Amino acid sequence: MSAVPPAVPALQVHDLVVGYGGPAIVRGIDLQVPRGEFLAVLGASGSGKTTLLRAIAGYLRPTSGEVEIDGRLVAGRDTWVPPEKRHIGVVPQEGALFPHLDVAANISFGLPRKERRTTERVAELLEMVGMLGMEHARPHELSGGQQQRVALARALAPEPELLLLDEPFSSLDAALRVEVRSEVHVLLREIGTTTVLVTHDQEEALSLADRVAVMSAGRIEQVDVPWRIYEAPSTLGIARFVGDLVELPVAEIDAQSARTPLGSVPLSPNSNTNARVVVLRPEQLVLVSDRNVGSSESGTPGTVEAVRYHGHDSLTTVRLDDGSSVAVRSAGGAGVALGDRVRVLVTGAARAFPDPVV
Amino acid sequence: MHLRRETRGRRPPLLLLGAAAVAVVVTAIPLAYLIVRTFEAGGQAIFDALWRERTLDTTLTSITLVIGVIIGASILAVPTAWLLARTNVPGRSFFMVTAALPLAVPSYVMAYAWIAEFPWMSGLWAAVLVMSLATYPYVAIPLTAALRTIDAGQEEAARSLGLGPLATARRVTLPLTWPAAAAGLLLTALYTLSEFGTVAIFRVDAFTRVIYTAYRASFDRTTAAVLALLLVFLALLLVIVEARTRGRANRWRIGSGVSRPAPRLQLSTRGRLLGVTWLAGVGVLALGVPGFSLLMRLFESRRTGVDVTELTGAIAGSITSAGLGAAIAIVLALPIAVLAARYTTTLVRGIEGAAFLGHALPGVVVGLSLVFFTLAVLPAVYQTVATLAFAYAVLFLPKAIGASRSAIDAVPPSLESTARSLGRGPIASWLATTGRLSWPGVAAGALLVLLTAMKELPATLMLRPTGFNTLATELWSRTEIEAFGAAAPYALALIALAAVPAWLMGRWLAREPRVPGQDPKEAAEQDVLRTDQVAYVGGNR
Repeated sequence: MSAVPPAVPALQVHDLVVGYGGPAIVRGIDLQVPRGEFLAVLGASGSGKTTLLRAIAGYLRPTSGEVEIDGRLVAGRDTWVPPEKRHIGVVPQEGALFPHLDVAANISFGLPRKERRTTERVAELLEMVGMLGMEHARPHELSGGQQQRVALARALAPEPELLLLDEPFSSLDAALRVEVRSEVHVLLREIGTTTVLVTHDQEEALSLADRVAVMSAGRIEQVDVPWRIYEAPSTLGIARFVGDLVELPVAEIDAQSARTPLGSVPLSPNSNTNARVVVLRPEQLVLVSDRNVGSSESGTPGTVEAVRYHGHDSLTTVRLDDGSSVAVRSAGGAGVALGDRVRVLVTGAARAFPDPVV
Repeated sequence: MHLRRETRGRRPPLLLLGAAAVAVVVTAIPLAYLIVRTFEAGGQAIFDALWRERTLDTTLTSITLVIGVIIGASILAVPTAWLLARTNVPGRSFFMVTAALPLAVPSYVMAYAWIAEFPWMSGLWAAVLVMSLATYPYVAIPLTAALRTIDAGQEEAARSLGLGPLATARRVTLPLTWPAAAAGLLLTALYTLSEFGTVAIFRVDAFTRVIYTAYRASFDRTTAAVLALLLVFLALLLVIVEARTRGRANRWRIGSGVSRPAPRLQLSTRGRLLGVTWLAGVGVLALGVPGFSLLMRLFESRRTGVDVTELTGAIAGSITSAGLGAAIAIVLALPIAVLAARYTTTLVRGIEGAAFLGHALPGVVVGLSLVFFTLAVLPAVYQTVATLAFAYAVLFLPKAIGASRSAIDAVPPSLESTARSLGRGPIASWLATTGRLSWPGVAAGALLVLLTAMKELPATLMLRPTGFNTLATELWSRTEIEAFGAAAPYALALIALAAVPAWLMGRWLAREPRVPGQDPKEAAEQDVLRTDQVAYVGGNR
């Protein structure tokens, strides 16, 4: 591994097209993952993200395009390297542990015959995933979280160049998911394995990954660091997919600001001046109770229509006097009740998009 | 669902496809040759054979027999299923077993037991009675399961919408359980249509007996061939209707939501007494009378003495021929089962469908056709154990495919692809995962074929080498000369031999390793289905 200069990306995908005989599911993807990076591929179901992962793993033969792992061409016009020769690790959905083998045999499954007999490597890996002493447990005796940890240890055992995670946390319940997820995160950081995670969960992608690639209809729409995906999405679709959104129709627009139902809203630099809609995140809005503002003219007046209280924050729906409604996120409780008269203030800049196509 | 995603539209390897195609072609030999042989006789001969009063009589007799058995089996099965599934009648688990047990007794053994006790029994109605008793589990078992698994919420909803108990039964319960019951009834019909032994014992001139007689009177083989084709045509209709009904039953199966079985009706003391009387009465007719009769005959035969050499010879013959048949069946079934479980292209569905047509081939037809085929094409194997075993393989291939396929289906394909990502080649990966995990199911399929083949009668009579005897043929030759006492040891040996593998298989299925991550409810449902399969092990065809 050390022979490969660090400039060579761990994974390179060029113009990849993959299908199952019918119309292509993955339609021309370019992707570069530098060594040691944690990349999340985020997409709704049917976006082609799992198909992409299966093509990288070698489970599926692409229609055209190339895949290189650590500088080695594994899929191309005349090249096809089967999965067992790609030096990748895969953690499938629900783990897919071999039910007839105990934990130790599962983990050592991918090791060379000689090493399979020794116990050190298995113990080392079990310690890594925090399951030392469980060598002889059977898969059905493990909890869902433990199964995922064993599946991870099994994938890491042969020291793969690239680790592929196929929605590995989706079968766990909410509390366990967060716990296992952060453990895996810490572990993979420590080892420094290049990782591609496929997920439909935006929170998971944003919180774990160094970079996020958003996929839709077989194409990658944006690859960026998580905060840019959330705060500077390149399309309205991405903006809607990665979090709650306040969408405002545009009456007038120039390079700096747009006239909307919330008054004149400043725009982020280089905004599209043909935009028909501008968007804000609910936490960019501030709620002021009418009593406190008195007769001041700042903010847009409206009535509280719904309050969703989550503890750490709350989401308040305000029906503005012109009839449109906006969502406002406040840290903790908003201190307003249904029917209260409030004013809505805007902080920060909005992003503008051409047409609110659904 | 992700199972489908992994396999959707993938093209199967050519080698596998080739093996499956060869298996289908080999299996199609009997039917294909029968068609060839029939049309060789020429249009006039076919017309003559068809256009006779005798042919019409035979058809009407067979249809009357089938309808009679369907009605008889329903009369026995519906109250039984309702009592077992929906009431608090005492002894339910005991009666659950007695309701399945008749399947372990070949119906000609049952017929023999009845006629040995009541020698005046004969004709259509005797056959209808015995066949109904032999086949009612085909309806009772799936109907009981359906009545247990309907979500109570649906019937409660009907009641809350203002329907009385009878209206609820008619408008909700009946439509929901109908597919299960209908599939069972069609199975009964198919089984009755192909049954030879019972029909022959009671001297009913249905298709199977007429074909066999025409074949024995060797100057009339064209008639036998024409009638055999007509029988296959009728059976094919039933198979197609059955497959469609089963498809609908699957669609109606209620999804993954938590379903709660209906509460049991609390019967009054009188009601419970009536219920037990009914269940015990059916049990006495289906198991008690034949059991008593067989034991009585056994005592008689002890007085006259049993020829132990003959008996062990027959057991050896049964095991040899049926065992070889099971081996051939599995070799033919495996490529088809792997294809059907793992790939979903149109070609694969076609191959699986073609292999399933074996369901529509009665033993007497396969026997007849292989007699023609070996005499004309391969005289060297005429009346050899190999030909007999091949006939078993053709007849019971669908059973072998079904068992292997569901075993392979139960192994998630992700195990195989994960093994490959861990550095094992395609064949090593298959052996380490799918092969390793599905072999108990495949072996169970082989056992199922073995056990069904031991009970096969007409093809065995037609294809066995001279002097080669099985339990079925020995039993048969003794009932033909009405030596009922001498037949008893063979009947009991047949039942015992059939029961041992069924019991072994039950234990085997219980030990199968669980796939992790599968939720326990789903696993429990699969257990229910397996119980079903075990019940079908008895399938006497």
